[in-house]
Amino acid sequence: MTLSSRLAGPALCAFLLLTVLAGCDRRPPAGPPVRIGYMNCNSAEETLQRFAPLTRYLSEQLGVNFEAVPVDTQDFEQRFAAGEFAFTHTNSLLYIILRHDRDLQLLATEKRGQFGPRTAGAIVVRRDSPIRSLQELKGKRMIFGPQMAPTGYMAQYDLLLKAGIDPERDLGFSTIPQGSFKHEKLVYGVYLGAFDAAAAPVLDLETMTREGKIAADDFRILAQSEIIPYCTFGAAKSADPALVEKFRKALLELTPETTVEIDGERRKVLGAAWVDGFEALRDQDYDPVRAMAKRTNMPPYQVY
Amino acid sequence: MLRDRFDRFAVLALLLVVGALGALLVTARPSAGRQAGSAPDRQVERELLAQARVAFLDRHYGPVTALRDRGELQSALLKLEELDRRFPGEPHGALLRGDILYRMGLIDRAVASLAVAVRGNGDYLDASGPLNQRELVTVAAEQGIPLLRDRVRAQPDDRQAAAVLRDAYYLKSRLAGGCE
Repeated sequence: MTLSSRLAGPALCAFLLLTVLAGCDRRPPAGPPVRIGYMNCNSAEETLQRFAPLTRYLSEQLGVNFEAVPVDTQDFEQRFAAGEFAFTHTNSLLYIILRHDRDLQLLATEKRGQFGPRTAGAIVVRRDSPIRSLQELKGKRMIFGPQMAPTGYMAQYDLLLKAGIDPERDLGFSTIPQGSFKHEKLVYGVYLGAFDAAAAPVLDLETMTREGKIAADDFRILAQSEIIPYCTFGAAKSADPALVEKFRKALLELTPETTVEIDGERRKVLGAAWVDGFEALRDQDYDPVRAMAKRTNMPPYQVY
Repeated sequence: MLRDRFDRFAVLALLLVVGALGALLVTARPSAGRQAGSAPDRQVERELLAQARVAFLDRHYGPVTALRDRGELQSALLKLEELDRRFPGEPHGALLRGDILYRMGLIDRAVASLAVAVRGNGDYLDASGPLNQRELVTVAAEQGIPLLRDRVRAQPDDRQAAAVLRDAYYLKSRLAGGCE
């Protein structure tokens, strides 16, 4: 028996063992957890489901035991200040608040929809509505998104103020829908005739049209805000700079084909999170959000 | 094998038929009229296809163009979302999206979309064709390249900007007459 034929058996066994091990579920790294606070969109459960693959991906890439923490928008700053999480995923308004009040570092901006890492807010009426301009909204019923939504509330509030309409006094009635899926509810509110106008995020109009929930011809856009950055990842000032840099790089390197294994299922990281990718915007790209917040007397510039 | 006179006659007849067929195959050529007609036929076919395509695009994408021309850019984009469901991957959707995003000032997004359109259908760069959009593609690529180059220089790990910069160079190369 030659040397090569004697080595062939063990080599084959080693190859098979490596192949089997490579196919196994990669466990998240052990060690103390580093928490990422994800702003809730509809519910804590949905947030965890959406971002579980992304959190697992970051753990695998950075060798750190990341843990996803769903956070209510209204509680976000308080919980961040209390040190409950070192990394943040928020809308652009919360980003500028945390940047202003807590020196949050900008990591990357989420891309989704036609405008990529940016989006806008619109004021819509039904296509057959007699309302043709913002001025005609005086005395009418209007529905807004949640108060901390940059393109579901602030942008439209700003549009009305610019048109000489004080939303607090000039509208006949205004409200915010209850519960989850607020943006969809307000679009349906106008469609079904319960309200004359709605403060609709352009991204939601896009998504609902793509999914066939509404038709492009169902609504008329009375006004649209300027385009502002979308949801954003940030890091606490106290976070390890090397970890922050790796985190940022890992986000920018994500492609639609990136997958992770969770509970025995291989899942696409971006697809699960409803994200097209991440882009490296600069802090000054958020200046239009700051200007809007100032004009509408919103945090962090609110004056009583 | 050849038992009688009838057998010999049958074999002779068979040989005659085979010989005649062979002669026909050797001597037969396409008729002059048919030869002359093939090239124009193909030309007519191409012309018909081109006209049908223009009519198809007018019929389905006309409402998008109308909204765009009225300045209702967001409504035009929503209409495109709807059409993408009916005609996924149709380059004309990408072309119109690029046009609208350019009008909205989103140059990088416009360049990416126009590159998809041109990759899908090179007719958009045919100066004498009915779908010619060379002017739009030229201005978008010319404005996009310095903008994206600065972005990539400032943030070399910005993969998105690097990918769109490649798209802009691709458009420039196609405008100059380069192939895929």
